[in-house]
Amino acid sequence: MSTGKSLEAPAQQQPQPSGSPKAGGRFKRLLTTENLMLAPAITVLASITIFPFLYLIYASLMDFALAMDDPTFAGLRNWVRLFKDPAIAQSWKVTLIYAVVGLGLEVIIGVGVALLLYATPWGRNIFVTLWMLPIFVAPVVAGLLGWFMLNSSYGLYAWVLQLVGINTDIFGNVATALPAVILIDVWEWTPLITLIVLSGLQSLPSEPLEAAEVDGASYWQKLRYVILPLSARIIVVAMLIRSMDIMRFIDTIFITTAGGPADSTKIIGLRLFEVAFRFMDIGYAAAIGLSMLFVTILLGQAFVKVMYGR
Amino acid sequence: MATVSFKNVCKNFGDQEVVKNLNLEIEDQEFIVLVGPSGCGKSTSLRMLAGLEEITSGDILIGDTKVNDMEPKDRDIAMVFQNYALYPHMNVYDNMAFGLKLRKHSASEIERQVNEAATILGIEHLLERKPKELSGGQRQRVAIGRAIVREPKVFLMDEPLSNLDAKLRVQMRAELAKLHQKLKTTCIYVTHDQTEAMTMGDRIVVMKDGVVQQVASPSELYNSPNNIFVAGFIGSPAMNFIDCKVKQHNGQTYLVNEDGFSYLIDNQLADYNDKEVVFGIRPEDISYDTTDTPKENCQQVRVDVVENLGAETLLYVSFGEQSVVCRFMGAPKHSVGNNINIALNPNRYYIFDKETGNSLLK
Repeated sequence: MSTGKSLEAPAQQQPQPSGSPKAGGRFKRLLTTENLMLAPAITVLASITIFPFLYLIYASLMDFALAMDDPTFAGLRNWVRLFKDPAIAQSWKVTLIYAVVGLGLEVIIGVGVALLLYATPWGRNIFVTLWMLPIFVAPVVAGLLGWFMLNSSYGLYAWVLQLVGINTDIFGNVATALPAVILIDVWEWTPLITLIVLSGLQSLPSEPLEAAEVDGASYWQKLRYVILPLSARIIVVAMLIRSMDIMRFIDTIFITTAGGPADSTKIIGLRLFEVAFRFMDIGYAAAIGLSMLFVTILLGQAFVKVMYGR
Repeated sequence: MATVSFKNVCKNFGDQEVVKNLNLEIEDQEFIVLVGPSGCGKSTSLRMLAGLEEITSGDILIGDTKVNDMEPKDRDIAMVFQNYALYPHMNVYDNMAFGLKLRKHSASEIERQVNEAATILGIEHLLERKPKELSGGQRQRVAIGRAIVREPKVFLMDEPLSNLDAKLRVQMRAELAKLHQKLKTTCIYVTHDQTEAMTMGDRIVVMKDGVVQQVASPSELYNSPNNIFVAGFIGSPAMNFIDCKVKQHNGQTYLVNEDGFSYLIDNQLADYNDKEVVFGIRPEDISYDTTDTPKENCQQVRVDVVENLGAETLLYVSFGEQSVVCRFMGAPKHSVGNNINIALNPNRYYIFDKETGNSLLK
């Protein structure tokens, strides 16, 4: 408590003339051992998060393009544009589909595989290792891999799809591009869900499960009434991690479709990238970035509520 | 309600034999206690009966049904676990109703049974609470309630009281005994606490290293233990053991040792003349010797520690290298360092073979 006080106090004192003896005393109190020891960490934290965050707010209020000489004050122009821009709305829509469908599939498959592995009496580690392989692939490589496999001229999967009568350029078709990038995401990130959920399952207390068996529960009843409720929290954690990840994800889509065709795969992260580094409109990009941060915080809060509100 | 039989049951974990050739017939309505130090195989035996561990060999029967390969859910048993094993996400009512719901009892029937069990255990006011909002004693009541609502053939209890504090344990012990008298369901109770075993069991099974040492009623176990392990395990404070030799003198048999110990026994032990045996005497079979003249079966000792328990006093005394615990009624009459004479009851003693540990008195 006292540390908090001594941190606040000098801030209040700052407007006062610096020569006042009172302010000097406060400053001395600030230089306690614990504050001095905290200082490096706080400085680093401030320089890598707080300063950029404040700068982002500043940039979002400026007419700020890399090509121009000096940023000029723009007021809320970037923010107004953000809410009126149909391209942004389209990107949020794509992001929503990408997140809901992708995360939904990842959770269903990931939890299912985790339950299978949990019930496997032997060789679990080998299966886990094999199943985890996609995580170790860099997202860019995963994107390249998907692009090769689904390439309409020489892709293996494309060839298989052609055999069953699907003759289209997967990444070039508005109807198939988004499902394709979602499936690549599912391929790469489902194992992460499995890993998190499996570790949660393995740390479940064995006694309630045994009690359920003795109480007369079949496997499915045990799953429905005991295992899933007890591991709900860890599943929510996995979803939280993945959903925040999806928000800022661009790598795979950048490689495979670059957001096309016709913006059908341009999720908000990719839109931000484009505004910032292709159109060089840093002010507008800052506003988009802050709006993404806002949505991510809301999402995180919602998950935390679900987790602890039970 | 049902009988339970273990027939030549063995259990191995890898190379380790945890339960060796267990044979046990448990009668209908009996309260039987499996007792022994940790690692003796008592919990494993119980878990095999519950179906939570597979049997390596042998047969387990509940009633006339062989249950070796039956799922736990089909065995019609109820189990109380050491750590309560309540479902943390369900309230007390749902915890108790869970087994009934799975068995598709009607809602009104479930409500009646849960309320009845809650009344018996005095937890009616806790039905809406989650397990984490309960004290240890309350949790254990809920766990017992979850077992009794089912009205199973057999109750299995795996150290149900060992997580409770001492006072609560004594209270719950009496309540469990009362509950059994009321319900009359066959009950198999595992504990490492010999006091629990002695006070609750109709019969007690003493186990050590996976082998049954003795199956008997509490008083039989106390009065005629089969071997030195049972003798030392049952009774608190534990029986005193004194290594000595059998000596014949003037047609009488004495047990003597180098610390000056001498005890006249009425048993001849002819085969054991000059052989090493272990003499055993319970702390309560030792009394003060107030006469001045030395007598048979008396021993001068030095008082090392005095424990005043109020109603009784424990004296830790020694002579030579030998330590002995004595238990006297009332307040202590001696203090540390005193030399006193103690008299060993000439009629209540135990003699065990030094090699095998088996009792030589039959």
